Amino acid sequence: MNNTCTNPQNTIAAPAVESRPARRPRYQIENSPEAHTVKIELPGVVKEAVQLNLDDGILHLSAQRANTVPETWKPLHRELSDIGYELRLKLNDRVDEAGLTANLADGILTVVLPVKEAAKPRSITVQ
Amino acid sequence: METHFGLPQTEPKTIKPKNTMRLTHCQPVATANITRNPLQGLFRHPLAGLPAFEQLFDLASFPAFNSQTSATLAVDVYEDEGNYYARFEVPGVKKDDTKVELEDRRLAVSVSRKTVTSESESSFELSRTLTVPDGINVEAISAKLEDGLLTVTLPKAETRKPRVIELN
Repeated sequence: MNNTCTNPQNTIAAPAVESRPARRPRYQIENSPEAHTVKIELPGVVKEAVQLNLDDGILHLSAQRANTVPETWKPLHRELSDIGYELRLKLNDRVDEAGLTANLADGILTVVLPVKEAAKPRSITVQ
Repeated sequence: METHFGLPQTEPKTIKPKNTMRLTHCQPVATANITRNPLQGLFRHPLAGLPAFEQLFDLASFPAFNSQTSATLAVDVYEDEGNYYARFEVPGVKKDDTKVELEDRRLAVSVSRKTVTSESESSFELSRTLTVPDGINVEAISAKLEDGLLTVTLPKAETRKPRVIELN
């Protein structure tokens, strides 16, 4: 277990937290020896509205939903929410932060976190 | 090496790679009060406060939170001068996995979401049926998939003009 996340002293160091309401998006993590792939569901979000920061080992995602409904549209029934998304993930130090890539398609943000070369499994030849 | 603020370091350093994923939630104190969808309470009573909607659309698939074989898609319904719009949230759904059908004034929208990982592939279906109101130009219904949102446009038919019927 990683205890650091629940430790308040540690979280104070996180980037400035905005009081804007947000919800945590659904996401899925897939692991391979090469990389960790995080797929985050962000329906209604356009590329320009995604903010992805990496600060002190914490990946901070904040995304606002585009106001895609023209003003002339009168809501008759609402079930979806316009509230933005916010997600913080703590990266462990095996991740190559410089090689991080992110791609938004069909409302899914895919963040690829490559594993550091040094941390990849390798076989050692016996002399 | 991270400082663990006096908490015992439980993770042995020699742990196998597949167990060392430590991408964990970090929920700082200030975001602990993150709000879930504020409208959610409303949905527990499907038609609470929605008299206008009740007249227009029959929510055939309610109650939304019934356990069914396929889950229910949430929908927003809008109206402007020329059209009604039904909007669904479908992140990760491709065009080919989307089905919009109209049968006898029942508009059925179903999407299948595929989850492919290196080990397995799974899919599940989400669907929703709306009853199309009167005065819709059924032929001209269109649908668009963009940024994980599916928008079905239901154009209003030309206003039925009043006419005088002559007596023979």
